[in-house]
Amino acid sequence: MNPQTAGSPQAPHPGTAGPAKVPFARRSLVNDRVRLAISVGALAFAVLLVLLLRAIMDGTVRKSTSYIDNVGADVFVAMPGVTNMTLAVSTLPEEAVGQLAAQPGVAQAGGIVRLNAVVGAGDETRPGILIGYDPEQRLGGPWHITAGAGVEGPGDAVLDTVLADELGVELGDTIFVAGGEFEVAGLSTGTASIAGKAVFVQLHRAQELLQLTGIVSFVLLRLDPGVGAPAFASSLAATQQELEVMSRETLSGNDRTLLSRLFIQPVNVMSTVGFLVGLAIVGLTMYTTTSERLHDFGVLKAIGAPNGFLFRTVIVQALYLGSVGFAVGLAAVVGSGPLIVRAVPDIGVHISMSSAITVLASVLGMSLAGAIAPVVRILGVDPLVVFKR
Amino acid sequence: MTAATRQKPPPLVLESVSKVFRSGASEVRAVSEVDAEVREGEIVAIVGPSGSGKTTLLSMAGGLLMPTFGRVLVLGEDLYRLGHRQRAAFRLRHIGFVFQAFNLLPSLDVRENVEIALNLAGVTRAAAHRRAGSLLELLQLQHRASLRPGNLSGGEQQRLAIARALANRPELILADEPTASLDSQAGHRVMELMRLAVEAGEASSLVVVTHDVRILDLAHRVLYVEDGRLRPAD
Repeated sequence: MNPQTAGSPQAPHPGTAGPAKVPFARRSLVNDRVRLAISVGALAFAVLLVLLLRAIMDGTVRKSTSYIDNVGADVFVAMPGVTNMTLAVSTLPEEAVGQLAAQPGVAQAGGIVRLNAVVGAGDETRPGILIGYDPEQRLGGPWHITAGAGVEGPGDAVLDTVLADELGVELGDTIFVAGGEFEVAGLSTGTASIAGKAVFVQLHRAQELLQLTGIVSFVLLRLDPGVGAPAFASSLAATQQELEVMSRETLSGNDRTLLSRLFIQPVNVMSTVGFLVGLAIVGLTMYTTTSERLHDFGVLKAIGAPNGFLFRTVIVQALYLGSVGFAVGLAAVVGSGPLIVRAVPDIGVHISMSSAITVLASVLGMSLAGAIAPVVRILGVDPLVVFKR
Repeated sequence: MTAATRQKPPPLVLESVSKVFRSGASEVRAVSEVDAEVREGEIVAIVGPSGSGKTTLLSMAGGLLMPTFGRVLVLGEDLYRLGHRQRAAFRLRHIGFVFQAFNLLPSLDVRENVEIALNLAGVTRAAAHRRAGSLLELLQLQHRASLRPGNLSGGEQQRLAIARALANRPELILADEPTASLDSQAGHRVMELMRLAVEAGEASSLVVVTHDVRILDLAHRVLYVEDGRLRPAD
């Protein structure tokens, strides 16, 4: 042995801090992999609970406006004071359709009747939304027919596929809506939501059944290319005081806000429960992990580790646990989303960036909160434990 | 300035150091009025029966246990006049510990167990890596660098503990029964390596608390503790 070979030519220079070095925090945390896996799994479950609730709320709310978003209209006109389509009732004279069609910048106008209705077939009944539209205007009807044809005659109906499955009907079968009898002429997709599943029929047949002759619920406008919907809506609203004029984005936003308000309280309650569960998991994990490693922390204290290092170690462990738990929980939500929608087609699952960021911030926040007790315990460790034999 | 004033202060000076443990109305005087000095390059063995105050003395010398009376000077620095944080930093840079129970960090591998002491002292990653590699070579552990301490023999674990203690080239190494958990061959090797480390300047001095009579042959001086009092061994 040649002792002279030991070490660099110069003694180390304390105080010249370099980049991150021995990853003690991570190594210490992953030392017991079974415990780590259980902790991450439990934390991911809490994340799943919180994030999935929000994703279902966001997805379902988004899906509820699929008619507004996809029907092909740029501007929607309702009776004064009606600023929603879902859960709102609007009546306008049918002549408004012709008057609005004559407005400069309007390429196409179509009136619809829209009301909640019970749809029956055989012994089965389901709630639905009856939408009467004028097929000649090609505005207001289904936008994606997967089987059959559109509404060609007064006895034809196009049914949402989910509703057709629930009722057990196929093309050519008979259904009953609002006291009228219809033959299933087509099946559409993208027309089911928590607000209801659509049944499209001819406008005049719907008016007749609902005793709304000469009345429409909304007038849908498709604008000429290059005409901006918000500006057009503002301009029209200024001249037509007896009408409520909204761009597609405005009406869609109004409906989403309304539905969010309906959902938000139960979601917040469940989110709080999930948060508390997560907090307990992180706290317990950090506490037990720290307790098992108290001797190591005592050794580090004895050799001269500053309290700041020990504090950072626990904080890094908490954040690491929170981040991994969040990532696994997020992956679980992403993976389970399509399965949930397949099982329950009425709802949607949508993970918005804001929800993900909010949940991540919450998880990291509860990770830090869960680290408080371990930090206090570590700071109180007596370095004399090193002499215990 | 004379040559004497330019001299480096001794690695360890104990001045009338006493430790009294109180529990309710009763009190136990574990260490009583100890005066001692350890000079640079010196290996000092402290022997004595169990419960005589050896480990208490070592704890106070290492800045881990405040004396009830007296002063502990390491390199002329009165340890217990330093604040908690400063004392920890001082310990990290100037004092190395070797314990009977090794006290290695089981979640880190062999190399990292050495590097962490360097990292804590603010040594850059590359320099710490080089220094740890050299020490592992010195202590003949380079082939075990990637193993966890639990996979090492007792002798290897104690050599690793010595490598960690030497990491920052301390002026003072305090060893508490370093051979007590080892068989005679491993114990002898450990002590020989510690002696060589001091001779090579990896540490300036070594104080060993021990029951192991073989160590006494390696020490320059042997002190005897009994009932908390220190005296030169016969």
